[in-house]
Amino acid sequence: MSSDLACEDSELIQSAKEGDLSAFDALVSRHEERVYMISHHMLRNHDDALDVAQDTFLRAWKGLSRFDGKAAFSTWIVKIATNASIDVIRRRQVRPQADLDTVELRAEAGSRTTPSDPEKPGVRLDLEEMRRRYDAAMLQLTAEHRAVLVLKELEDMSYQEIADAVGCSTGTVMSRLFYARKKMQSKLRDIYEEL
Amino acid sequence: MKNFEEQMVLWTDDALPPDEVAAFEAQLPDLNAAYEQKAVWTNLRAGLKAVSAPPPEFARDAGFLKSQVSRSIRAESREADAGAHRSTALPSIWRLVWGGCGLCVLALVMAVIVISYNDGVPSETQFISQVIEARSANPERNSASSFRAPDGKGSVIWLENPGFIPAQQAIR
Repeated sequence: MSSDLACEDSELIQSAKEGDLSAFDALVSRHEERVYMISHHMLRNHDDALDVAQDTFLRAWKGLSRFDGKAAFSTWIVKIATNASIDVIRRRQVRPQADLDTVELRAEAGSRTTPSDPEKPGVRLDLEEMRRRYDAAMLQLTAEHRAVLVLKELEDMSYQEIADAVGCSTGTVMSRLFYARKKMQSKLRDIYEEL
Repeated sequence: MKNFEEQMVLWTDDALPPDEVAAFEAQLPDLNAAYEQKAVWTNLRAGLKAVSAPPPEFARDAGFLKSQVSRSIRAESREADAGAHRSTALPSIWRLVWGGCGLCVLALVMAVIVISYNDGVPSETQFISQVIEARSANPERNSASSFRAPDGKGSVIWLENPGFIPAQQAIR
C-alpha cells in the first residue's frame, strides 16, 4: 500500500515538476492532513496550522526542482512542515509571553470548571480540560523540544527520521526528547497521579 | 557510547538493546522510581494522543487548504510569467538605452567638429601677415578686407579708398 503510494507520488512529482499543477494538487490532497496535523500539534491552533500547512506546500512547490527523490516525498514534506512550524514558534517566542499566559489562565480556569453538559457529564469536558492542560504544557516547550516530541509521540517517527527532519544527530534528538518529556511530566504529572 | 539521556529515552521507549538493559538498570539509583516514571510517561503519551485528534475545524475546512494552496500557486505562476514577460521585454529597453547613448556620442562628436571648425581663428602672426598681404595684394588701393582678432573678441575692417567697396567684400 505505502509502496504503491510512494510510486504514485513519484509519478505525480514528475508531472508536477513538468508544470502540471493538477498533479501537485493531487499531492496536496494526499498529504494535507498529515502536514496540517504536524503543524497543529506543534502550534496548538487551527488557524496557525492552516497557515503553516499552506506555507509548507508553497515551499514544496517552489523547491520541487530540488527534490531528488532519494527520500520519500512524505519525509520531505514533513521536514518542511516541521521547520515552518519551528519558524513560527521561534518568532512568537521572541515576543512577550502573552499568548502563553492566556493559555495558562484558560487552563487554570478550565480546571475549576464544573462539568455542565447534562448528556455527557464529565467525559467531554474532561477531555477539553485535558486538552487545555496539554496545550499549556506544550506551549512551554521550546520549538526544538516540541518538534521532536510531536514527531516521536504523535507521528511515530524513528529517531533517525526525526534527526533528518529537524537537521541534527540522533543523539541530539534523544537528548531533546529526554528534556521535553521531563518538562511535560513536571507540568502534567498530577493528571495521572490522581487517577 | 550513549550518554545517560540517550539510554533513558531508549529504555523508556523499550528500544534499548536487550544486552544493555541490565547494565543500564544497574546504574540507576532508584529502579522503582524509574519504572514509575516510565509508567507516568506511558500514560502521558496516551493522553497526548487522545487530545491530539484532528480538531473539528479541520473537517469543517476540508478542501479549504487545497484550494488556498492551488490559488496561491496559480497566482505565483502568473506573477512568474509576468516576470518572464518583463525580462523578455528588457532587451528592447536596452536597445533603446544603447540607441540613446549612440545618439549622444554622435551629437558630441559633431559638436566637437563644429566647435573646432569655428575655433579656426588665425593666430596673431597670421593676423598681421594677412593684413600685410591684403594691403600688398591691392596695388590700386581699392579694396576692403575684414579680419578677426586671434582671440575672437573683435574684428578689424580695413578700408582703403572708401569710395569703393567691392561687392564680394560686403561687410560680414
